[in-house]
Amino acid sequence: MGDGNSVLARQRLARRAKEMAAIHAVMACLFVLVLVQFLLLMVAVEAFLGEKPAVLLPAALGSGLCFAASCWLVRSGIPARTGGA
Amino acid sequence: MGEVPAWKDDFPISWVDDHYVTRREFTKSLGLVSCAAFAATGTLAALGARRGGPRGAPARIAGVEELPVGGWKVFEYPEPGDPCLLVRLDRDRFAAFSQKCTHLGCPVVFRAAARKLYCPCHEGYFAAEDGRVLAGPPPRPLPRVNLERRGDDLWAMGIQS
Repeated sequence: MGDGNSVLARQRLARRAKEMAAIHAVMACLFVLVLVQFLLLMVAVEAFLGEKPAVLLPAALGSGLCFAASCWLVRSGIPARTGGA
Repeated sequence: MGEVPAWKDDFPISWVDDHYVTRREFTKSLGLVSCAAFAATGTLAALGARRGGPRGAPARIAGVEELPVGGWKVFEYPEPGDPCLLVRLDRDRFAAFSQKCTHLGCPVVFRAAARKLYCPCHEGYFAAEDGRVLAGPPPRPLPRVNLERRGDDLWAMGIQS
């Protein structure tokens, strides 16, 4: 009985460790995506002030792709909150 | 000394708990920041697309005989308070540019002998023919005013970068 409980506890801990690893990976990816978006925003501001409209649309498209990836990560990367912890 | 003050009973807020941000909240915040960055970049792209092409309505800026060869004149275009520079390069060649240096906005002047536009603030030089940067810190050419000759008059037909 005691052995069964410790096995279950170990399994729970292993599952939690996996979930935490997944969440940390999602956070790292999101962070990188947001950094890329800030870089694109800086490029867009520079192009706007420098009146180089050819750069603006690709920057906006790139930022949109990053945003779509962020949405996907936020929606599917984080496990749903459960009742307890 | 160790007693809990009375006001804590009235405002039972735990600052530690209140300022605690979970990973989930932080991740959602990153998503919101991503949305805001996309909105800002998209807005700039939309504004840039609307702004394309020369700006300004046609306006008479000078008579042909007003300027000698090598002469120059300051005029305001496309709006009052936007200084521009008209230069006469040859008998039949005129050029006009925004007078604001693309470095820090100092007014440029025409140096007829060198056929260059000169910014005295930081030693910037632009070609008088097309406004391209020849020397100094300016990062971009001078915005050019499109000119049209109508009889004995010179008309500005729009300004473009």
